[in-house]
Amino acid sequence: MRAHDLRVAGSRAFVLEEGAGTPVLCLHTAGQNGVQWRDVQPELAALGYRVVVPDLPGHGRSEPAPRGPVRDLGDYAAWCEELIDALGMERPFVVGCSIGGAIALQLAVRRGDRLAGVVAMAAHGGTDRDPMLTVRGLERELVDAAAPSRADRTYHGTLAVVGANVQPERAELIARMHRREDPEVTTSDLIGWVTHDVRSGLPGVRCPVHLVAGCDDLWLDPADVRHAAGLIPDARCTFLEGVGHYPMEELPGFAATLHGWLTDLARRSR
Amino acid sequence: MDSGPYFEDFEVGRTYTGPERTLSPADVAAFAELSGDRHPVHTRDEQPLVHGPLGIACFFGWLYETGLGAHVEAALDTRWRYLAPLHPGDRVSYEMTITRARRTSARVNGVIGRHVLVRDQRGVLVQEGETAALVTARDADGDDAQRVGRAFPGAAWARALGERLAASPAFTTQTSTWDGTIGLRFGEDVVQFRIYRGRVLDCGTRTPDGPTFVLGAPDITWVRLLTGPVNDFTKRTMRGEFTVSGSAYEYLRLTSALVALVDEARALAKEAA
Repeated sequence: MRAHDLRVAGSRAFVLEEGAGTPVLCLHTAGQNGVQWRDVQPELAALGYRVVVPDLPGHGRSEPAPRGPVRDLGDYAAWCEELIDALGMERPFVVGCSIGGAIALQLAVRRGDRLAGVVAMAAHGGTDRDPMLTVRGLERELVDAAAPSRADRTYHGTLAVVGANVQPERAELIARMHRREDPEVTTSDLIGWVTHDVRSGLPGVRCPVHLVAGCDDLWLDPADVRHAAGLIPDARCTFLEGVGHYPMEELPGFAATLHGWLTDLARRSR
Repeated sequence: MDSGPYFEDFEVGRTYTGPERTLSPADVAAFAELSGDRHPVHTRDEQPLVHGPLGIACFFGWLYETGLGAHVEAALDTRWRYLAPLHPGDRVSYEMTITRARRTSARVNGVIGRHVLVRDQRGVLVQEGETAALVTARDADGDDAQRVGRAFPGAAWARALGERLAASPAFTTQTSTWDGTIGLRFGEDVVQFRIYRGRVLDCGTRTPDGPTFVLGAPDITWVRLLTGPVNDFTKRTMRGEFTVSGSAYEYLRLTSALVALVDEARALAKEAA
């Protein structure tokens, strides 16, 4: 495994890379960081991929974006484009979850012709039809003095959206890891989620796309995912039983599953 | 009638189902005549609607047919919501869950709270309601102590939960810097727990300063939370099943304390099973 410490879009970025072969960019969820891919990265690399896992700006070991916490998922997409080019990733796959999935879909819209394919998990490219979050509520949450017990709420909130098939010890570990966030960054990410919408660009996507959602994911309406899948030419759509909002952390042997999806995308890639 | 359940037999959390019942065109026509509600929406030729109250009336018929109403002395109240239309020829099924059981001071009977789901033949939820009844007790000298764990939101239940909270390290730690009163609202009834630095000073329906915040839900939501397979309180709050009044800040501050409170209330309910 190799660590990169490079400048992307004006700030220092921390990126872990492992393996050689087809490049894959793996994107984490709101407020979290690349550590969500720690089990998947070596296993996927062993299957013949060059697996690149960044910490998005303001997350993990990456410095904050120059203008502070990012509220526009398009900014993250532009950041990822710069990273892809800086690391010389030729026709990479992009795999992301939640805001990472939404960013992956943005990349599919922006430069699908230069991607091998996209796996967007827990994302559907636009505004939720039955939103659980509002910009107003999130703005309130950004005032730290009005947002008590944040760590406990992230902990219990994570446990609530982990799938029924996940062993209790694993769920506990995921929730404990997720507490280690910067609430300002997470909340800004979620404002990005609430306000992003690239659905008008989905019919023009020029790479194969696979949308994946967990059946136990309270954050997502399956109808939104199916709708997005209907907009993208020839998209695949998979719902995972007993899985929640974080498939890459919840599913043992996720790398093998992902390998199957990537193999299918490659077969359909122009 | 000696068969059929008495007051003591209705355990809070228990669910009853039964056979479907067809609401025939003749039933709808007869109901229009009997009630006098001959409004065109019920009598027109094109897509007539079943009278909503026929769904209620047939619930009481279902209670009689199944024998579940054998020892009912009186119906006390009914609140009902019509969620989707029914048409003549539709078949409805009823699912009844016991939400409350409180013996009266006379001790010879008790009040049973019942939540009712009505589905059509496609499984669509068409009506939902609550209705309470006075039911004869089998034994006026019966021991209610063993049922206290499910006697929410009564005073005896509040005291029993207060004792458990005081002995729960998770709850006392999470409230160890707190000074306030937690209110829990079941339907329209609020019980309060006065907390000071991890100690439970008082519990019941009144405290001098009133609750700091009140966490509320319909009876059925509490029943599912407290008698269901897992503590899914956070999921239910995320789905908007609970409402909060009073200080939202203090409610959020007690996030973990409330999870611990629900753990204790669930353990208490299990004792009564």
